[in-house]
Amino acid sequence: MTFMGNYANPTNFLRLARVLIPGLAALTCVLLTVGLYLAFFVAPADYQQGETVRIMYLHVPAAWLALFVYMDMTAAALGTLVWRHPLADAAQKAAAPLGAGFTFLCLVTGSLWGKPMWGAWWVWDARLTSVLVLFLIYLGLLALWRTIEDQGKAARAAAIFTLVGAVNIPIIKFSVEWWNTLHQPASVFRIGGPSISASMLWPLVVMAAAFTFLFATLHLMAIRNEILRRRLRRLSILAADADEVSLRSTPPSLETAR
Amino acid sequence: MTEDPHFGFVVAAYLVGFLVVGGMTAAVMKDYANLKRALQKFAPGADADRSPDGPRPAQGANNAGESSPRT
Repeated sequence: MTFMGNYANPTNFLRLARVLIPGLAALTCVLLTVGLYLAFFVAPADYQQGETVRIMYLHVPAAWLALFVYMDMTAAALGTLVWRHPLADAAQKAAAPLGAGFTFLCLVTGSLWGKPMWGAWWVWDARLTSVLVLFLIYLGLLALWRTIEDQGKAARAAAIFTLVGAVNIPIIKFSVEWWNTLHQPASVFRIGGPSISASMLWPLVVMAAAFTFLFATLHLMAIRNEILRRRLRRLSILAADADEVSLRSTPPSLETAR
Repeated sequence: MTEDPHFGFVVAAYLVGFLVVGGMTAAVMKDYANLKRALQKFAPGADADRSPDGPRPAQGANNAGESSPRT
């Protein structure tokens, strides 16, 4: 809690972001380069799917991040409503477009993987539909922030909406077990350990780490932007107030001369 | 690898991946550049990342960076 308290101050957070962003960005670039090399030149083709399996190294990390970002936003929503942490709302607002981006990537790459393997771009099975619902929730949250002018009300409304939408996360995770789906069941995070070959698992782990660090980097940058946006708004209001005061204090003789 | 009849789907997926990741990165960086430029109008020569009057105590929820000015 002391750590959280220290970085409740936006200036302290900006100082931390200045230090962390370059390092995280460099680590992301290294991991992405290594991950793509492993995915294309080290990992073998699948005995059934052939080369198409290489879409997995993009689709699965995007899917994990789609869920991870939403869980991050749920924690931030609790931070807004329960602990009233001053940066929780900024963190939640900054994460939403990134979550929408990863979910969109998951849906598109899934479709591009599904067409050659299933013979269909889209099927209304539980996993695909629940991920589509997640994407719509992200879009709904983005719309909410844009439509409510009062920032405090928008933050509370978005936090409540996020907490309600969190019910979709376990539905996505367990949809392949609860319903009979065309989508395959979990093959990495499962009781009994991963069921895929180590030669395919390691490139997947590296790509997932790369995507996680990519999100961490972009999230820090987006929170920094949000703090600057609020600072800009405050300065604009102060400047407008100062203009109004100077107009009121103008001598009446000058007013009539105009 | 390229002889696979479905290799086009792999290329398309990674192309979309680069576009989405590149788009998100570019959007965040462009937003930062615009905000820095706008803040420069209020304090020419100052660094937008640094508070103009030093650290302030937290003011409560939903006003990060919007604390009222000292008079």
